[in-house]
Amino acid sequence: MATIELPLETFRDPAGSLRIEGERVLRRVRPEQASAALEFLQSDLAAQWVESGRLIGTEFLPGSDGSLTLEHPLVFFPTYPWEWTASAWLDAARLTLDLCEALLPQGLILKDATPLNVLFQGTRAVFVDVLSIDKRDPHSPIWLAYGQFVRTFLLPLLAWKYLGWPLAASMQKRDGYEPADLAPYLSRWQRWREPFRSLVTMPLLLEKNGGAAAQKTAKVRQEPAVALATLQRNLAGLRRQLDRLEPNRRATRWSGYTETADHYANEDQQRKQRFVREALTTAQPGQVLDLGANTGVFSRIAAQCGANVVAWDTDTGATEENWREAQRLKVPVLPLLANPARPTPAAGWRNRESLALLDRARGRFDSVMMLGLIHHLLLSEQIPLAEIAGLVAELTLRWAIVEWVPATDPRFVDLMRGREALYGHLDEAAFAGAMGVYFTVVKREALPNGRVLFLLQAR
Amino acid sequence: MLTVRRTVLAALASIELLVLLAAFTKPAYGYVDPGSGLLAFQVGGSMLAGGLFILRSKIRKLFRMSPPQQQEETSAEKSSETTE
Repeated sequence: MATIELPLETFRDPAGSLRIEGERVLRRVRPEQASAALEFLQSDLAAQWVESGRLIGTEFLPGSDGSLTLEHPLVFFPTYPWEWTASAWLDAARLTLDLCEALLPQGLILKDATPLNVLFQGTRAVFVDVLSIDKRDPHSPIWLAYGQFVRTFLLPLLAWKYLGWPLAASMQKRDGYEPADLAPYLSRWQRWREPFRSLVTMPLLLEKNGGAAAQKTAKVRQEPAVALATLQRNLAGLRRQLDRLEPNRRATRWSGYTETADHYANEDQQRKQRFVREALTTAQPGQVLDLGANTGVFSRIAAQCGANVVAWDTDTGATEENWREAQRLKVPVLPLLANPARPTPAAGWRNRESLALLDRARGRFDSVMMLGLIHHLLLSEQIPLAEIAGLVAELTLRWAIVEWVPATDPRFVDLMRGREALYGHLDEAAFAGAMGVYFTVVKREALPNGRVLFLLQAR
Repeated sequence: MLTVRRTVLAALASIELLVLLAAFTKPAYGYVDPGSGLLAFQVGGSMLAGGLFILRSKIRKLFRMSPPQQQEETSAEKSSETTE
């Protein structure tokens, strides 16, 4: 029988490595290579950052043999940049620059700058890779992680905003894009306009002509006050570039769905919201997974009922909208670009550096919500009912709030596209039969438009 | 006469072709360290910014004749003198 491989202990940073043991997050440290970070973690500035929730908390666990382990609180749902909205990317980038800026006057700096150093609690970015903090040479005006910041934050955002390259492609690009990756896709006019000039064209020209010279001049030395001012100016420059990459609001297929859902009369919509609210009140789930969350109307209802919500959807515009609303209303919702029918696979070295989506979700949620999604899974993704029921059972510890969409529903008919012989026979009884293997019905309500809402409890 | 002109034209055309080929010859960039361009850009920017910073502080010095701290001290001394 095949066994699920656990993620590897992190290994890229020689200063230490991180492993997860059950609910515990433990970081083995080599103190001689992490002295600056360890000193910082005990400072007042670090305490302020932890207090504001922008830096992960750290507890020191010295071993009897002189070794040192750090323990961090578990971030409820770890995510990867390839599942983030553009706004999440911007927040992670701003957090990285903020922290680096705060470190400079302390004689410290970030030795690397990648989105993988950041996780999210709801929509709040938290810097987690504490060993990225290092001592800086007071005479050097060079931020060695500048290139990595451009490659892993700015160029993917640039490619997304202007070329439409999905941010999800970052799964294939651990170290981001090179300027040479983007250059062939820019028009002559674009190449000399900002932000392309500073991020693509000039670095590319210098790469061809002055790269070797730069390696030597990287040892450039300045008076400490001048070096500090220069570093601050460089960070301010990166921040300006970042501001330029704020994504435009693009209308996508689903972003205006809530306003244009003509198959849902106002009364149906109100009854649906009331049912979901009542179901949540009955179930009292602490953690909710909202599948097919769209712009997050029901995710926010769950959050208002006291749950910590993770919301998956495949549409960038709708998920972006969900992100902005959650942030504006300060509700504990984490909207992610994720597809239950094609979940993010495990990735990285030996396929064990980053976890697959379902491995992270299993055993974490008291309730799964699947509203207005089942017909997409059945007809577009061609997943059989029994499989859908199996997935819901796998993802929830106890409850499921599910909407059944009958074969007569106009949206079901649209998606059937003439395949009535294959799918037209599916009815509520078939749905109840498939779900009945794993769940009992606690509550059922049929809406006037023919859709049926269920609160299910695991057997 | 016609053949001479043709030969000259052909020679000129081949020289042009050679010049063009030389101009468009590219070295093997596959082996250029891809991070070096961004580093070079930062180094250039940092040297420029450092130079500007020094220049600005020199200009400040020149016009005020002394850094702001000393000015404050002298004005404080003056005011204490007047109160006495």
